[in-house]
Amino acid sequence: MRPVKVLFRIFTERWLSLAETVGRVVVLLRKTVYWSVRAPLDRSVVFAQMGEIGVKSFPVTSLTALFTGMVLALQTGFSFRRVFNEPLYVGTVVGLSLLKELGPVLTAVVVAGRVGASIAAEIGTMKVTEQVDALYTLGTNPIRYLVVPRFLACLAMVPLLTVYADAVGILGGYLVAHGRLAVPSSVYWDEINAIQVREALHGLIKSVAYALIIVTTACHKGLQTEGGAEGVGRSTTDAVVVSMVLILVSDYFLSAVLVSFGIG
Amino acid sequence: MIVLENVSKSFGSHRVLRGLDLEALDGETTTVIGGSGTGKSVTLKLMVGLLKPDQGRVLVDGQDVAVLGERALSLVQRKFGFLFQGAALFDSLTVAENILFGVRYLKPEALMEGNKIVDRCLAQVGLKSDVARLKPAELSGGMKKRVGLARAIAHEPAYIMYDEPTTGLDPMMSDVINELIVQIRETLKVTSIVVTHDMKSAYQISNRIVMIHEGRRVAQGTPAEVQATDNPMLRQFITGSSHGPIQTQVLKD
Repeated sequence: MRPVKVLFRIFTERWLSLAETVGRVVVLLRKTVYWSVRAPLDRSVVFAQMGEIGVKSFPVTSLTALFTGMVLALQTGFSFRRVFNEPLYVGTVVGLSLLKELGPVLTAVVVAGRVGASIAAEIGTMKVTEQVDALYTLGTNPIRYLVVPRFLACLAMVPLLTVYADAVGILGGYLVAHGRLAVPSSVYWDEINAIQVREALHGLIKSVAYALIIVTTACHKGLQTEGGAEGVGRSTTDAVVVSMVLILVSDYFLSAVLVSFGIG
Repeated sequence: MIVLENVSKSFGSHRVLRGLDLEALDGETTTVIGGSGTGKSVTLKLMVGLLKPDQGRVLVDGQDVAVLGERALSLVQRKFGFLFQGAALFDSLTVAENILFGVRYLKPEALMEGNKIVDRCLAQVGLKSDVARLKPAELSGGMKKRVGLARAIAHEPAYIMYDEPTTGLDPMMSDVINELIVQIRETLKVTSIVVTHDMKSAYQISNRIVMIHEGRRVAQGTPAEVQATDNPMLRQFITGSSHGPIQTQVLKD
């Protein structure tokens, strides 16, 4: 009887803790949206964050997207050649895979690793050194000052990075398809051009959702940080791991919902 | 005036304050003393509304900050300046930007005279104007505390809270900070609440000293009364003795 009770208690505590966390995140999101709409926008801070989050992510996104497009074209070309004796549909497979799945997901994973960690560490350090408390005593809401600029910058830059990653990936696919598999340029680009707007929109909508996941998770983990340097390290790791898991899990559900609405 | 009535506060299963009563009178410096972990810093944060009590009332000029909404609480928080233990300066901003931070949000109309405010506040804490362009990482511990104090007084608050103002400073710099606390009380006519376990500092700056132990007030009085006390707990604390009614945990090999 006792082990059952213990298990029940642990199970209950875990669910309560999860429910509490979800509640906190929802409250954070609500307050962030409220301050985003209500408070006058400090454009210079938002632009600085756009540079930090977006512009500095371009090199790593370029590299990831380029080689993903290249390997996708290579695998597709060789596989289809084995089955059909010709590297058919390389443009279609590369284009659709990148626009609908790999572009948004890989960009989000890169941003979660680079930016999510940085946001959680910065806000977490401010929390443990009482800088967040200092904001309150200086008449500033920490959500308005710390979260809103990052939130707006992330919502603007992640979709932009996704579009850029799609383009670079498709270009990488073209380099391999044309240079290695001898697919004629016109065939590759015709296949890309045949992709419909709603299919590109599918990935773009997902990228907005991923931006929301990354910035909310990172800010929440940062603001909940306790326990000095060790706490900052834990928050940073948690922010990255939780963001990545949420991105990958939500990918399926978002795809299912979007497809059911005829988007993609 | 700040009044705490029967205030209790727990963190998880750890009860920090257990029915604390405390008063900070206008224009005076009230110093809260007590051992580590007795809830001194928590008391300060409750007064400013950074924490909410589980039970009891925290009255600032008659308003219970524990029941105020976000906007009303923000208006009360404007009355406070807070010197944090580690100064809590914003790393990415210069000294001048740190000092003007509160002014920017609390008294935006005064920003026109931003440079004058920075020079005046730096002078009040005994620093030269050329410090204004430095970043917090370029300052020593004592200078950080002074800049923290300059930031706390820049928006001309009615109350200034000091959390361990002399911790981590050498005795001479501690004395400088103590003199600043007295000087600021006299010149700005502010009400000060200081948390410390530095008794030399407490005698020098206080009008009244309150001792907290196990989350309750166990003694209070003027510095002279505290020095002459026969309260065994207070006597043990001010003499720094490990023998007495306050149990001190000493780990032995």
